[in-house]
Amino acid sequence: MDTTETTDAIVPDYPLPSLVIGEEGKYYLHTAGRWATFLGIFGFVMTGFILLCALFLGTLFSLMGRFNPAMNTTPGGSAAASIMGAASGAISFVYVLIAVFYFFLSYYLYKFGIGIKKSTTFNDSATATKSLEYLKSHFKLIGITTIVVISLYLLIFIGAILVAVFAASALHQ
Amino acid sequence: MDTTETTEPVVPDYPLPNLVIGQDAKNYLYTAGKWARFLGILGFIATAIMALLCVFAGAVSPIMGALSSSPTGLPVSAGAGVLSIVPLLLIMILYFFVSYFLYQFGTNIKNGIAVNDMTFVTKAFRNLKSHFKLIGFTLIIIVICYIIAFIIGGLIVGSTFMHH
Repeated sequence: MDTTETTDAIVPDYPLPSLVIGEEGKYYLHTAGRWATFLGIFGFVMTGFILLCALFLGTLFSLMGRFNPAMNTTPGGSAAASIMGAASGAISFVYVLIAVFYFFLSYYLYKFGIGIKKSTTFNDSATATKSLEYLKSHFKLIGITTIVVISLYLLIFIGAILVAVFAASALHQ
Repeated sequence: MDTTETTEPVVPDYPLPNLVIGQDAKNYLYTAGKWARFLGILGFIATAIMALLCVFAGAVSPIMGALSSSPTGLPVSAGAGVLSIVPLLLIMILYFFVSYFLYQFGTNIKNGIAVNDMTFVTKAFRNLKSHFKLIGFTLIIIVICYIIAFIIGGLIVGSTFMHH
């Protein structure tokens, strides 16, 4: 009761440079922090799984290349094996990239969750500032990654159209 | 400069009833809100594309069913077409609400920071909480589904070996 009365009195008088988060807002922030911590830990586990997948796929592809007899006996088989190796390397690389992205996503979320839980419990504005910086980093990372992925898709789309146009013109000549 | 000076001496003196955040934190929140709004809008666009796909799939599946030559194939493939839409529809609804909460968080936090208003900020944090909660619940449900599928698969494999 007291808390709401004091803040109500303070806020309208003069524009405070700092923002007061009330009891309700603190409760929501605390709950958000608990879920964020959970999601962060879940993300760490998933990062481990993705790395395991990358390792597994890489090993699988190299084994396939080694034990497939067609690749060693038929002419051009060694070229096929090297293409296979390159493909497995590329797939493992993509998996590792996804794992790195997912790790930082979860790390920022985890740090936000831990910090915001502490700051809402102890009304600690320094910790709140730090954890809000992590929240910002989290959303920024997702945003930039989304922009990069969409740009890549657009590039592939445009590239495919150009290739198709060139192929069609070459066929007509 | 002034803001950090005014807030920092206040906090250690006595346990404040409220959490007060300074200019730095407000800047971070504002940036977070901008990205959240952007992601929310992108989510709405993605939801619209998914809805178009649903409509397309719903329109195509009866035609596919009618075109299939097998006499028994018609009702089966029509049913399969409807069934194939259900996961897409679920993902679409989920994605819409995730984006909606994110968009609401972004919009309210921007307004709240601009006018230093507690009601906007409270509303924003409520939506942030809902956003994380929805993702968390969904993940828990998916993990439980995986575990159940794993157990059922194990039981089926086990019973096959028992019969032989």
